[in-house]
Amino acid sequence: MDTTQLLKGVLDLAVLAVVADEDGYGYDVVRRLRAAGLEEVGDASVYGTLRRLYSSGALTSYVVPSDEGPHRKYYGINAQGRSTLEAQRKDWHEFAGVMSGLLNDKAEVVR
Amino acid sequence: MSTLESTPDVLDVTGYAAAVRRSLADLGREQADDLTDGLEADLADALADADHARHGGDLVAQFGSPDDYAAELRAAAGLGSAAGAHAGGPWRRLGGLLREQRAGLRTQPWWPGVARLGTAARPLWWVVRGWVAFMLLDRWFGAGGSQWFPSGGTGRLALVALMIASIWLGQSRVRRGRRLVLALNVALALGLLVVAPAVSRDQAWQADAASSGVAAPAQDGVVVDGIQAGNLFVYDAQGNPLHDVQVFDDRGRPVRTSGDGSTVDSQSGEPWTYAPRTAADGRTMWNVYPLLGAPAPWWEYDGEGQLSLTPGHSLQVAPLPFEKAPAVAPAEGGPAPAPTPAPTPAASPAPTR
Repeated sequence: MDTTQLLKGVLDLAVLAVVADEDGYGYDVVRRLRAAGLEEVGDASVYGTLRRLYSSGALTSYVVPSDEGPHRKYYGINAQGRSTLEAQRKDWHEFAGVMSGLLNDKAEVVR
Repeated sequence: MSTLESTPDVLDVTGYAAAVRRSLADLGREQADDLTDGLEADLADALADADHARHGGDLVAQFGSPDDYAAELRAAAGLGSAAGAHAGGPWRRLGGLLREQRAGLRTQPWWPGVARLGTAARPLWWVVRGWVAFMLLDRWFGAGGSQWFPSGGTGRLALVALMIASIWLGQSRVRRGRRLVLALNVALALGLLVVAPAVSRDQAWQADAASSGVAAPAQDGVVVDGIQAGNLFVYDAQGNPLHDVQVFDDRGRPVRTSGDGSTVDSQSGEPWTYAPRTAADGRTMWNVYPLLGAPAPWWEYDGEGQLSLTPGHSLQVAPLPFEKAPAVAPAEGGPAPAPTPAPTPAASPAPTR
């Protein structure tokens, strides 16, 4: 199964979870997502998602100047983002539970 | 999105980020800047990451084209594709459409195999496009281009030079002018569609001409057992040779043999050259048989390039194949004289014209 298609539906949730853990800038978030196991995630997809979550009011943003290079744009989660994350986390667990049950039942039938 | 502006060198982070911004230009300056804020730092970090060292620091190899990168950024930000509602020239829209198609293909399970095959076959295309370029130039300058491969040394040299140039261009890692190369590829691919059928047609035509041989243009002549007759000899019903007989075919056309105007091997085994007769009204007649002539050595070209007999010689009747032919038995139930077994059936009185 193509995991990039699955990823599309849950990238918002994954990004929110990573940023809720600790503030991060674009590539930092990418790196943490990959370290967590989402290796197929695209750089630009993450940056676009961060930008969209920020626009919808789920994230805060601040710029950190750098002495040796270009500035970095950090993102942090806010109250609205946290409530979104909690709601989606609950939805995910329910959904994942249903899918797991469905797939296990099917496996029994095949066997 | 694709732009028709000249492609800058996008090998460095600044250039790549600038190309991405340009690709997002239709969003407006503010939104594009907002979307790419901090992009340089992100790109530099991604490049510095040990995980990506295998790409050799090539941004395009690692992130794909700036246009693709911008499209992904735009889609993830929920800003829609420039090919949609946003204003853009037809080229931009086409570029966006192609990119969408490609993204769709990439999700197919068979895509990786096909992509690998395509990559492996690239050198073949480099050679083919060198050939197409040569054929187009060859045709354009009118030198030919009707053969699959040039027969002349200069042509072959030019063909090899173009193929080498094409291969060099293909394996070159230089990104500058990538769009020009793309345009060239499209043009040559279309050229292949034109050149290959044209050459194929020319070849078929040539093969056709070769198989029909020298007899392609219709010629006068009388053929007996597959061999052209040089002269005709006419005998009457009693089998006696006739002279000065005019022969016409069933359409009233004068019958000419291959002996008219040329030298042929006569019955005697000696080459003979025949001469025409002249009609009462002055016309030249080649259908009066037997043709009169003289052995080839008796003829000379005069000052005007005309063949004439050397002094002391005159035209004579060619040696007869036989002095007397078998007599003809009267035809049953009909007064008409039957054809003789001589080479032509024309023993009947000739019409006067």
